[in-house]
Amino acid sequence: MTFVQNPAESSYGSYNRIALFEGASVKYNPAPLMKRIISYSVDMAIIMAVLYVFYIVFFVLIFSGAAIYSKLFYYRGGDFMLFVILGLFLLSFLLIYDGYFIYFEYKKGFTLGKKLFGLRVVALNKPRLTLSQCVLRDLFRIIDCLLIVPGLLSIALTKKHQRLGDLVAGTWVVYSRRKEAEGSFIYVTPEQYHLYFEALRPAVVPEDESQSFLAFSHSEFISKRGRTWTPGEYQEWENFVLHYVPQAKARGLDRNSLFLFFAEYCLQTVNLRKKPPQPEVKL
Amino acid sequence: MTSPIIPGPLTAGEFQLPKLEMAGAVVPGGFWYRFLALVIDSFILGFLNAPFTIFYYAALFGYGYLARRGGEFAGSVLPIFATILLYGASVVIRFFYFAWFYKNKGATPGKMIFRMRVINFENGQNIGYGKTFLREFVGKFCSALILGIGFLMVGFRQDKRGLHDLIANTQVIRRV
Repeated sequence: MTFVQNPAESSYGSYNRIALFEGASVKYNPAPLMKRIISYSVDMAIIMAVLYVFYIVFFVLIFSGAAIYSKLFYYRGGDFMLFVILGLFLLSFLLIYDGYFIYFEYKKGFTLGKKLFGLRVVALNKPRLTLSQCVLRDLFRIIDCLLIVPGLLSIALTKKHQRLGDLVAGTWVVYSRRKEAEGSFIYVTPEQYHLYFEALRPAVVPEDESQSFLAFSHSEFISKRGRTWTPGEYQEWENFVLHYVPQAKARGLDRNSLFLFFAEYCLQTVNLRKKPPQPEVKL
Repeated sequence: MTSPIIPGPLTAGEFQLPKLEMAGAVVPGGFWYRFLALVIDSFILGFLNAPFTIFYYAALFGYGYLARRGGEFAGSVLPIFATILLYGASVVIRFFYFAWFYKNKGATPGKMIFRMRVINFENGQNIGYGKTFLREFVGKFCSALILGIGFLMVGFRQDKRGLHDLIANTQVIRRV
């Protein structure tokens, strides 16, 4: 029983809905460990960058406030001021760190770092994550990501590559290569590309030929400088593309759409040195 | 058993393909976007450097403890060696981080967040290891050498290319 998913409808959510509809379990791929580590460090970098700005403002406020009200704090006794400052620092860190993860995972299912690498948090037996699951995952992040070893062990030992927080919350992190490729599209949107790819099924292009076409499409669509192309040359390029996309003639495509799609195809296959993202057959 | 919500493979002539337009505009990457991307990349590089940094400070503290007790450790080259190791490791990590991401993804994670890419100015393809070395090490060194004017050029030029971009013949583009 194999289904080809409609390329126009391509999200993890639709897989989940299909699974509920069919009463079957969905086959996801567990996220590779290296991608999880890098996506976590991207998240941490974003949080640090936000905190950096936040702390500068904070420092100015605190110390100007301290200069004015220092006597007030002094009469409360001892190191009261120090505790207040440290407490506020810790509180703001926890607020931003936990808030970032909980908000994005509950709202979207992925954080910014996870999105870049095609990762997503999915509940084991539910169509979507609940708030308590997100909070549980986040609380256990202190053990998993600070002490490192228990998290790594649990990822290595469990079948679905779950860390301790995942085990407790009943979630796991899944990976989709197609989702990862979506960030690198320049000429057309991923939806348009998959629609065209399904309909046209272009042939494999040799690397040097596809590089020469990429140079053409770069001058045509992006840099818009340098040489201009004569109508004869446009016709030559169109014949070149039609050689690899024979079905385009039957569809009656206009030249602009054809060039844009074929440029994206060359970019996805040759420039990124990968096979074109295939629709993932599930169930 | 066929599902009512999953159509089968598409066949030719089933429906008219929609006309394609360029997906948004592609513009040169601006100064502040690139600045923020570099900040985020630096933080990530800090994380990747963490094992060496921990080793570095462990070695220094150990040296300090032993040197205070006197003996043969007092004049050792350990701190110099540890410092060279730390800087060497950070340079190597930095190079492979940038080169791998530029070659395989077109952008580092910091740039990816802002939907930017580094491309070869001649033909719009991803840059490889050689151009990465020219851009990230030779080019940025030159940019920094003239009081950072090479970086400020990004903000003032029409095509948003800094000195390091001109040296390596690259351009940063951003999808809007």
